[in-house]
Amino acid sequence: MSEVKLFFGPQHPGMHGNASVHLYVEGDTVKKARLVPGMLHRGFEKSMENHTWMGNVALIPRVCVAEPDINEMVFAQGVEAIAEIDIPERAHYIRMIIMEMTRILAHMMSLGAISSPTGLYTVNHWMQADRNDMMDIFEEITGHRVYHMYIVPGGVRRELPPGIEKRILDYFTEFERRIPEYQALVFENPTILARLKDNILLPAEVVWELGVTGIGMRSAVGKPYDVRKVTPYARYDQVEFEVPVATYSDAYTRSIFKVIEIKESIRIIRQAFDMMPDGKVNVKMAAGNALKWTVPKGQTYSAVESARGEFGYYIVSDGKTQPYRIAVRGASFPQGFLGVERYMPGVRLDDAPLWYDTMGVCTPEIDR
Amino acid sequence: MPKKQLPSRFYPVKHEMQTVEAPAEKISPQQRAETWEKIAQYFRANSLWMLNYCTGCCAIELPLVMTSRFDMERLGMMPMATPRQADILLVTGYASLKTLRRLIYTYEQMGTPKYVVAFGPCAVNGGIYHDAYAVLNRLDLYLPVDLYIAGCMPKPEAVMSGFMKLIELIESGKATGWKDYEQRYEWYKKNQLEAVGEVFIHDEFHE
Amino acid sequence: MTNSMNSVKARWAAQMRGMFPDARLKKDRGTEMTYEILPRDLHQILAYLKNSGWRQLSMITGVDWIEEGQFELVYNLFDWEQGLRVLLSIRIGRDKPQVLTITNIYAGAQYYEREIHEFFGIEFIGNEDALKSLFLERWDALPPLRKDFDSRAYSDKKYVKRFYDPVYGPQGGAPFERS
Repeated sequence: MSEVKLFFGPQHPGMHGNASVHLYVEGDTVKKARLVPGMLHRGFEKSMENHTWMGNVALIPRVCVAEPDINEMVFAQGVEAIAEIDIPERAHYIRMIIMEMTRILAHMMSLGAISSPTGLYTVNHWMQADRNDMMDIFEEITGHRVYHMYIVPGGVRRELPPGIEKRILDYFTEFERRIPEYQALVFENPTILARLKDNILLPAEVVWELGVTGIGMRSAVGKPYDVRKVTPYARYDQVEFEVPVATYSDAYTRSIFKVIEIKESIRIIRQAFDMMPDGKVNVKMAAGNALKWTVPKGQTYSAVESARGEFGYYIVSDGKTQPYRIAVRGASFPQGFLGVERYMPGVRLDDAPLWYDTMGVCTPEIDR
Repeated sequence: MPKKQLPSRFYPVKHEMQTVEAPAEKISPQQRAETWEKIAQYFRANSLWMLNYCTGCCAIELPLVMTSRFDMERLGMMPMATPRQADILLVTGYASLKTLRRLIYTYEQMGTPKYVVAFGPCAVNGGIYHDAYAVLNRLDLYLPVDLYIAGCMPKPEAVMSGFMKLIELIESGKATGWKDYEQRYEWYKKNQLEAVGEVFIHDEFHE
Repeated sequence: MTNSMNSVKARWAAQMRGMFPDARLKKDRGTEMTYEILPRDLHQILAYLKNSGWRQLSMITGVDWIEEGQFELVYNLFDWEQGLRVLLSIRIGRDKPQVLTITNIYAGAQYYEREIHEFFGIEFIGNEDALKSLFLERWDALPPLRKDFDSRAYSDKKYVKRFYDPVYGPQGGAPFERS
């Protein structure tokens, strides 16, 4: 049998995000695969050098579209580390709440993404309905549904609106009541079990070879290697939460972990609301004109744990009003490139979109 | 021997052919064509199938528009996997040169009538990426855009009202992007080749 | 910083000083240490660090110091067990920049080097995959992240902009005319 060249291309109902995977297929099995990125490439790293420090806050949420707050958080953390500024306690807790809510949104989007390859479209409808309600909460806090621009160097932009605590906690009480329904719909469904269980394995040696982080690493290596536990930022060492680990990583395990992490995120949000002190929420970074604010010389790498793994910015400043260099480390760069080249061959053709989704490849953060 | 006379039903009846003048036409052929066109526009506008192609950032709001809360299907719009059977190409957000190559490839595979809807300011003047070396500044030099929806990114309510405006434009016959593409094909092609160079996607393995 | 982590760092810093006297500790930010090393020590230090627990290569970055006429490459390693990060920074000359590849130590470096080759023009000896283009197709100018490449000028020259007739107020025309 000869090999057929196929493009699991940018225009495909199973492709979330605009990237193309060039496949050579023989029969039903993929023989060779390469990712062709670059369609979402906007030249962020160059554009960030042309904007002022505070002006970059409007540009950077667009780097990772599915989970925009992680960009703001790493940028703010990095600038605060170079400028050696401490922010008020209340700001740390508010940042934690926003980051956990964004993690829930990203996990739900990624769980909804398995609806196209497997054919169970109900998953997508339920997940997007809940995401809509959460985005309304974000709209009340920050003013925009998707690109919040709320976490800035110096704290958060403004105080939480009155009554938001009750609204969020009531919403999560309702949401927790629905999680068993989601589990019954997705994870006890015979179709999903047949497609996801014992399929798309990720052994521990592959994890160390590629440099995969996040859920893929924790489900294969068996240790709680999570940036929130290993190098805690923003008061994660004051709240109690568990990080799920396993030693056998198939697509089913990785999807179940997302539900467990959603539950743990709700637990963190509740504790954060309890422990939050009163006070100011930001520190004035620029004494005077914000357009002339300079950050002292230095370089640092700041990382957070996103829904897909370790996401970081390497920031270089040379004392001027604009950054000298900002480099973005996309969390799914390893599995998007080397993973597709070495480990996608061998899967069935209809599992190619499933491989792409359960490994957690998010194209905008690879392309930036 | 004389022929036997068969019963009369075996002999064909001869009628006198009369020439009658056709009555004066109450409807001219042009009016007839217009009426058929109106009926066609009604059917086209109420059953639009959009192509599954998430081109840029604004595509995050698209699953939210398609699903239960802001149900797009009540307007008759459904996602479609192949461009051969789709009506609308949604350019959600910015277009880089690499995307434009694939967009042209896809647009020319769709069958007429076809419509292009652009989301956000990036198709109008480059948006927030106007000084980026990889993003185009104007989309309507390369593809005929019928409707722009404002917002960065447009809220689902804005997207729904944009779709209703598109339905109105189709029903009244004003969404004629595809006719414009056919008539000014050389002009579009010249712009496309100037920007993109060639509309051919190379194979990663043989480069 | 806990006491145990301080003692771990002190012990490890002493080992580094003993084995690689040319490696200079540039900045210590708690869990993140930046070392400046010579290009000829790069492979030895990477192999030593990989065996001591720094098993993950987070990323490789390039910085263009155009005034000094040098490129800086930063190798970012993370140790999950102890929570310590090491940034190794080397400097190479700006005209004809060449570095040996590190894909024999860290396999994941293959694509990071390809990306740096595309954006800076640095050649990685031993990595033939790095010569192909990754994010840009039919690119016709300088490598984009160099400081002498002006992104705004390139965008203005290559992509036609929309002309707005600046007439405001009720008598102004609609700006989106099909030209």
